[in-house]
Amino acid sequence: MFKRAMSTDGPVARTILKRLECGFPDYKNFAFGLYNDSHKHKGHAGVQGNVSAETHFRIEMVSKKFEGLKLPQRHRMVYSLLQDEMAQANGIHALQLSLKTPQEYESKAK
Amino acid sequence: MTVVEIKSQDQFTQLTTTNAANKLIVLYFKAQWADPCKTMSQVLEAVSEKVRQEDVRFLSIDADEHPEISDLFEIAAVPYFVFIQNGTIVKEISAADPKEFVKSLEILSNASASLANNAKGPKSTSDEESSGSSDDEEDETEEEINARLVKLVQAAPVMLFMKGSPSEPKCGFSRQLVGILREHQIRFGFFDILRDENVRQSLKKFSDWPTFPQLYINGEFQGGLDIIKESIEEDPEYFQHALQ
Repeated sequence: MFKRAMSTDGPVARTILKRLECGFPDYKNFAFGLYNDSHKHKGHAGVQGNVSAETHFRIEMVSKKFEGLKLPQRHRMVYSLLQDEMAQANGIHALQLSLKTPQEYESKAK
Repeated sequence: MTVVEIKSQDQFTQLTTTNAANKLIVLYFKAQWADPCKTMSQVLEAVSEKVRQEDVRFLSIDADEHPEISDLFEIAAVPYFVFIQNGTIVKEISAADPKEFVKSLEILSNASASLANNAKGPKSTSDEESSGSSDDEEDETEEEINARLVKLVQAAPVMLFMKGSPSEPKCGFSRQLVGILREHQIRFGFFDILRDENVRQSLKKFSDWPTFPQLYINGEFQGGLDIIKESIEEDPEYFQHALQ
């Protein structure tokens, strides 16, 4: 059984990367991950009828911009960058986010 | 007889969903062998005669005869009362205490009548936002829906807005969050956003949060699955602290 490819080459994924770069210019300086988990959510309520293969994404990002911010505020920063994609019927249905400051990421790695 | 004796799970499901129409629903779990149930059964009969049928529905369930229904609500003792509004468990009483029951009923039935004035019933959901109302019902004004949301997020100390129900989640994230709450033995109310498009869309603005599930504690938005998981990692007693 071959593992299904988790494509991050599609148009939605590329848009995510562009938006993140606008909002977080420093994200490439730190550990970063963008994962397409859409295949795991096929057929879920709220997703039925959406033929897109880009509905569920997971983002792991580190940025100094998160310093001093509580988790909900951090997530809202990312959501606001992607609100157009999330508002579309065939757009993003869910994001899983792990958002850390450089210091948090370092202490986690130890 | 103003108390409906439940005879099947199908009947129960029908009376608590499609036919609920914004009523406060009171579930009374009982057993023949339990002496305190005799007292509470009499109290329930007397009280139900005085309450307006349009506002409240009383359902009586023999826990021994309907274990599948008891399991839905994780009933571990009888007599047991569950109060439901708009698909949300808003109160549970596990005691043969007539005073507490009557008091809760008064508070919740008033709230239910108020909610009924403001609330629309459940409607079919659609992924696409409609710009106008296509049915006969008028849309709620923004003020009306917000007033309803303020009540809903405080309906229980821990309130989960999810897709589906705890016993039948409709998405993986909702299922996981239910699992976390149960693992931490947190009693919670829930609202199935797939059954009310107004709540589904308006709650996103209310909380400035575009996804579900959403968890509220003491009426305060806490976050979705990611944040709850991360909060527990940082503080194993997160729920105890948040509930104080």
